[in-house]
Parts: sequence; structure tokens; C-alpha cells
Amino acid sequence: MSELLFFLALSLALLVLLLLWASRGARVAANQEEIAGVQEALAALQLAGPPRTLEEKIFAGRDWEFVSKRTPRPIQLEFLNDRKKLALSWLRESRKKVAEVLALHRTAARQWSSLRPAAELGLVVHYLFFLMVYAILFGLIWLRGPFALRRMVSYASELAEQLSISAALLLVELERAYLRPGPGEGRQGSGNP
Amino acid sequence: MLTQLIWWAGIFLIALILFRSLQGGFFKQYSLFYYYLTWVLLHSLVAFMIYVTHTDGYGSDVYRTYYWYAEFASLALGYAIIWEIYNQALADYPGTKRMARVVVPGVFLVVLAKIFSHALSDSIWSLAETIPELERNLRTVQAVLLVVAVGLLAYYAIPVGRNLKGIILGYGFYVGVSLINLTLFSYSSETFKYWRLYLEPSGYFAALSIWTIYLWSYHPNPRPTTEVMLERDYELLSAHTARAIAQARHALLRAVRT
Repeated sequence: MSELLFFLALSLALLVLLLLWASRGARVAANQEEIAGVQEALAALQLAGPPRTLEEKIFAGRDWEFVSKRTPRPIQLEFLNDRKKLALSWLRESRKKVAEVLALHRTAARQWSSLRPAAELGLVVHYLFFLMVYAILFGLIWLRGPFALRRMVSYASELAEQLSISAALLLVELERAYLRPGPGEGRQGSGNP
Repeated sequence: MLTQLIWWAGIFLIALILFRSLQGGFFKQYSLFYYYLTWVLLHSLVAFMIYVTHTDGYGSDVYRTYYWYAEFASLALGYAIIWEIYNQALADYPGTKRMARVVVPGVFLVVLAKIFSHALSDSIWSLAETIPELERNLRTVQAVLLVVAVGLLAYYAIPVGRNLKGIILGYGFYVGVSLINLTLFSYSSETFKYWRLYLEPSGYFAALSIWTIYLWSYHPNPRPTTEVMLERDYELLSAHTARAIAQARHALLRAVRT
């Protein structure tokens, strides 16, 4: 019976994958807008911007301590609701940015003849791990609110940073591979007119 | 009656696809695929002749023997299509090609191990107990190779032309349906006897319809933009990446300090 399920699952996986693949487009190359998008994405992942200010504000326990002591119950509920929305929105945005970084990396890496499969698989594992943490956090925040989870949010943030560092290191290698000037050529003169 | 109708419609569609490729002059572009189709056309005509000249039809020994030999030849030629898919889709993407060179043998070995472990667990060793089971195992390997191919194309967002997309969709669909069919038949040939009679020809006809639509005229694979574009992109990226790495180092040091 398990054998039957294995073969059926494989056939269905193939059919579903074909359907999904056929319904989406693909891009020929990364363009200027995408580059700008990645710049923004990396900044949002706090590699190029002020570190950890946004989530520290969103998940700051001090705000909640103040509101819970000084305000009536309806205001407390409204505050919690607003912070929950903000926290979930921040999580979604983080996931989107990480996905953008990876998408651009893939678009560039596919033409890189010295691509390292182990490094690529490492990135996939990091990304899956990130998604798992994202899903857990999203569920917990949705259920219990943002203030019980500060430690876990910090952990997710660390993961996002790790992923970005891996992507950044690979991008630097890409840059080295593609931009190394030819013999007798300067950096500016290496391309066609 | 219905299967015969599908049979004739199938022969007509194959002839039409081949005619269009010769008329449009793109037979050579996908030669392995079109050789496969030529083989299927000849095989279908011979099978039909055997079918009408023997009173038992499908049940005759001559038909059955011919069918299984021809089926295995088709299966072997099917691997040539998969080879063509990999070759054409990844031609301009050495990075993804390199990835495929690592992933394909790895996944291939896992599937073979799965099939052999099942065969070895039986008291009497054999690769498969029946011919449909052997065909199912070989189709499984094809399905896995196609999953890897489509997975890589999707993951690296590699654009493929309309023709190649049609070849992948049509053959992938046919392999998927065949695998379901052979699995159910291997599990219980009596229960799924009638499924087999209609499911396989329907999958085959659907694949031919996909090919007819997608291979009506020549649409080559889009080429990636030149390295000039990439170079400029990478200059921008590298400038940003250098800044990003400096910030990351700073962030790591801060994390150690706190």
C-alpha cells in the first residue's frame, strides 16, 4: 500500500508541478528595477540600514507595560490589536524581502558557470528554515500577540541576517567572476559599447 | 469504439505535428523529439494493422508481444526526449546545468535504491514481477527526471520558448498519467482493467493535443540578455553588496558584544 502511495504521490507531484510551472512566467535577466529592489531588500534586512530599530519598537515590552498600567481596558485592547497588525505586517515584509534577495540571486546565479551546488543547497536550507520560523512566529503572534515572543522574534531576525550574509557573499563571488577585467582592460572598458 | 477513435485521432495529430515541423523547417531544432514522434507514428500504424488482421484484436498473442516490445522501445526513446529537454533548456545557463549535474544523479540513485530495495525485499529477487511493473519502474525514473528538470526551470526562473514548453508539458503529462495508470494496474489488474483501457489513450491524446498547439510553428528559446547587461547589473550589485557585507560584519560584531 505504501508503495502504491509513493508512485501515486510522485505522479501527482509531477502533474501539479507542471501546472504551476506552466502558469507562471520567467524572466530573461535581472534589470535595473530589480537591482534597485534588491538594494531596498537588503536595506530592509538591516544590512545597509539602521539595525533592528523597527522590530525593537514593534515588540518593545516597555510600551506595553506603560499602556497596561496607565490606560483603561478598551485602549489596551486597541493597542494590542494595532501592535499585532504591525508585527504581522513586519513579518510579511521580512519574508517578502528575503524572497526578493533569493530570487535575484537565482536569476544571476543560473548563468554563473562556477556556481557551487553545495552553496546553493545551503541557501535553500537556510531559506526553508527561515520560512519555518516565519510560519511559527506568524501563528504565535496571531494567536498570542507580539509581547510574549520577543526572544523568538530576535532569533528570526538573526536567521534573516544569516541568510542575507550568505546571499551577499555569493553575490560578491558573482561580481568577481563577471566583472574581472580582461587583459589590458580597465573596469570601464570591459563591456561592449 | 472510443479507443479506436482516439487511436485514429492520435495518428492524425502525430502526422499533423510532423508535417508542421517539416513545413516550418524546425524538425532539426528538436530532432530527438521528432524522431520519437516518427517512431510512435510507425508503431501505431503497425499495431493497428496487427489489430485488424487478427480476430482476437487486443487479446491476440502477436498483438500483446508486439505491444510490449514496442512499448519498451518508446520508453527508451522517451529518455531521449528528456535528454533534449535538459540540453535545450539549460544550454545558455551553465550555472543551472552545473546544478543539474549534481542533483540529477543524486535523485536518480535515490529512486533506483527505492525500486531495488522493494525488489530485494521479495523472497525471489527480480527487478519487477510483471512487465507492467517494470514499465512502471522505468516511468518512475522518467517522472523523477522531469520533476527535477521542471523544478530547476522553476527555481532558477529559466525562460523557455513555446515549443520546448509544449514538449515538457505534453511529455510530462503523458508520463504522469502513465505512471498513475501503471501503478493502479500493478496494484490490481482486475479492478483497474477498464481504467487502463481509457486512461492511457486519453493521456496520450491529451499529450498529442498539447504538442499540436505548442509546436504549430517555430518559437525558439529566448536567449538571456548579453553579458553587457549582466555586467552593469553586477557592478551595481557589487557596490551594494560590499556595503551590505560591511554592515553585516558590523551587525555580527554588535551581536557578539551584546
